[in-house]
Amino acid sequence: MKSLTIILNTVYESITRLTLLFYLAFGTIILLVIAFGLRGLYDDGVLIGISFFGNQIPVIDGIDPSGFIFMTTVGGSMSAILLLGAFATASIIPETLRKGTIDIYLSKPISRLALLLSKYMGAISAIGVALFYFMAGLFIIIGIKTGIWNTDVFPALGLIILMFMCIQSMSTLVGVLFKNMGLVLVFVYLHLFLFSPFLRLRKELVGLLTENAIVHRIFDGLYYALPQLSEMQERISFLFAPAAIEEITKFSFTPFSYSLISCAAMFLLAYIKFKRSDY
Amino acid sequence: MHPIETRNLTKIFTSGLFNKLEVRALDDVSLEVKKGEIFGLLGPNGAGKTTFIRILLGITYPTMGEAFLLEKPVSHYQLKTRIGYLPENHQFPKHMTGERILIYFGKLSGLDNHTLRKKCEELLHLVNMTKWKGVRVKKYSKGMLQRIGLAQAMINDPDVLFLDEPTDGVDPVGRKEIRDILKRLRDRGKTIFLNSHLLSEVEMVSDRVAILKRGKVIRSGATTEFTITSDEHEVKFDGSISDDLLNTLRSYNPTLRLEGNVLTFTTADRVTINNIIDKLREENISIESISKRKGTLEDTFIDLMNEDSAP
Repeated sequence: MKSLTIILNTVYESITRLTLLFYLAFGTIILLVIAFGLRGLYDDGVLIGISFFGNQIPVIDGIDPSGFIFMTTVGGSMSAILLLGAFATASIIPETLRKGTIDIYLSKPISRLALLLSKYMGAISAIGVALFYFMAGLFIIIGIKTGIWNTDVFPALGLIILMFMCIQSMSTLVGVLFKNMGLVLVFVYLHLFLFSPFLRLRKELVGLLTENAIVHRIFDGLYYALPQLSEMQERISFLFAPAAIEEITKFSFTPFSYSLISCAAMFLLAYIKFKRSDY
Repeated sequence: MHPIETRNLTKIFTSGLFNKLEVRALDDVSLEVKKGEIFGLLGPNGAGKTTFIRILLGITYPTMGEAFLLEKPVSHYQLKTRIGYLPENHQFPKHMTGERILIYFGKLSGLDNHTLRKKCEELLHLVNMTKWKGVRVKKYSKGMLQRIGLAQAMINDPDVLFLDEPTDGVDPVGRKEIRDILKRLRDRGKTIFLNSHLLSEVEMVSDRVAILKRGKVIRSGATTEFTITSDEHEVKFDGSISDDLLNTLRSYNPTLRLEGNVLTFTTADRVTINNIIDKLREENISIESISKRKGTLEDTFIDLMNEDSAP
C-alpha cells in the first residue's frame, strides 16, 4: 500500500514536470505525422501497398508492410525515446535524496529498500505510461490506415520498458552515489550513446589499438557487466522486421538476459549504498 | 524505560582521502526524555542537535552507543508509525498542495483513507491552513511551510514528536499558536523533543532542557533550574538621585549601581532592601517598581558557552 502510494505519486510528479509532457508531446507529433502521412492502397478492397507521404511500399507476398512502418518508426525514434525518457526520470532519485526531503521519507514507517524500489518502479511506470500511449497509438493508427493489426507492438513495448529498467537502474545507482541530476544524465547518455555502441564493436575497435589479451578481457568484462543498450535497441527494431530480414537478424534474447542481470546488479549496488548511508 | 533514551551515543563523521578527517558530531551522549514532557535540546550551530534527532529516527547511524525509541532500538522502522518529525528546512515535493502532502505522508505513515480525511481537516484547521490547502506548496511562504510541516508531523497522532526549529520563519502570532499546540499535545501525554535556537521559545514551552556543545551534553535538567531567580534586585524610580544620596545608598549595600532610572543591587537581606526604599522615600523619590531579577535560559546558555571558551 505504502509502495503503491509512492509509485503513483512518482508517476504524478513526473506528469506535472515539463519533461514528461515534452516526452508525450514528442510521441504525439510522431503519431500525427504517421496519421497524416500513411495511407493504405487498395485494389478492389484488397491491400496492395501502403504509401507514406506519396512514397509507395508495395505488398510483397509474405511480407507485412506495417512491419516496415513499425521498424522505421520505432527504430528511428528509439534514440529520442531513450534520450527524453532518461531525462524525464533523471531527477527522481536525486530529488528524493535532497536534505529535507529524505529526512521526511526516512522518518516514516517504510524500509529503505521499499522506498528505493518504489521510486524506481514509479519512474518505470511513468515512462511505461508514456510509452504505452505512443505504442498503442502507433498500433491503432497503422491498424486503421492499413487494416493490418501488428501485435508485435506489445512485446516491443515490454522490451523497451526492459531497456528503461536498465537505464533507470543506472540512474538510481548514479543518483544514490552523487545525488546529482546532471551527473545522472552524463553517465546515462555516455553509456547510451558512447560506451554501449563502443563495447558492442569492442573486438574491432580495441583490436585496432592493441592485441593485449588482458585489455580485451577487460572490455569483454565491461560489455557483459553493463546493460547492452545498443544491441537491445537494434533487436527491438528488428522485432517488426518482415520475415526476409528476420532470417538475417535472427532475433535473440541474449542481450536482454545479460542486461537484466546487469540491471539487477546495479540496483542492488544502489540499495547497498543507500542502506548504509547517513542522511 | 522512557520514550526516548540514548546511552553513550557517539557519532563520528569522516571525510577526505581514506576517511582521515574526523568530526565528532556527538560524543558519549546519554539522555532520557520522559513520557508527556517537552524536552528542549539547545546548542550553537554544529553542536550536533540535528544529528542526535537523525540518529533517533534512523536517518543517520551511530558510530557507537545505543538509542531507543518507545522502548525499542531505533533500527525498528515499524515503530515510526508512532513517531512524527518536522525536519529543519524541510522540502516537500513542489507539485503537491498542502492537503495532498498531508494525504501522501499520512498514507506513508500507514493511515487508512477514512482516518486520513478526518485527520487532514482537523490538522489544517489547527495550523490555520484550511484556506491554503488547495494551493501548491511552491507558492507557500516560509511560515506556511512550517505550519503544513507541523501538520505533516502530527498526521499519525504520534506518541513522540520531534521538531527541529519548528518556529523558524513563523511570525509572533504563529509562534504563540505553535506553543499552544505543543502544550496541548503534552497535556494529552505526548512526548515532544524540540531543537531550537530560539531560547526564549524553548524556555516558555519546555519542561526540561539539555545543552549540547561540540557534541557533548554540558548541562541538563528542569528548565526552572536554568532560570533560577537571583538575589539581584531592581528598583525603578521617577526623578533623579544626587551623588550624596547615591553614596548613602551604597553604604547600605556596596553592590548598588545606578543605570538611568534603575538602581540595581544584590542582597538576600530584607532589611537592606527596606533601608534603601526608606531612604529613597525620605528623599521624596517616587518608586515605580521593585523586582527581583530572574535569570533567563539565554543568560545561562551564554554563561555556559563562555565558561568553556574562557582561557
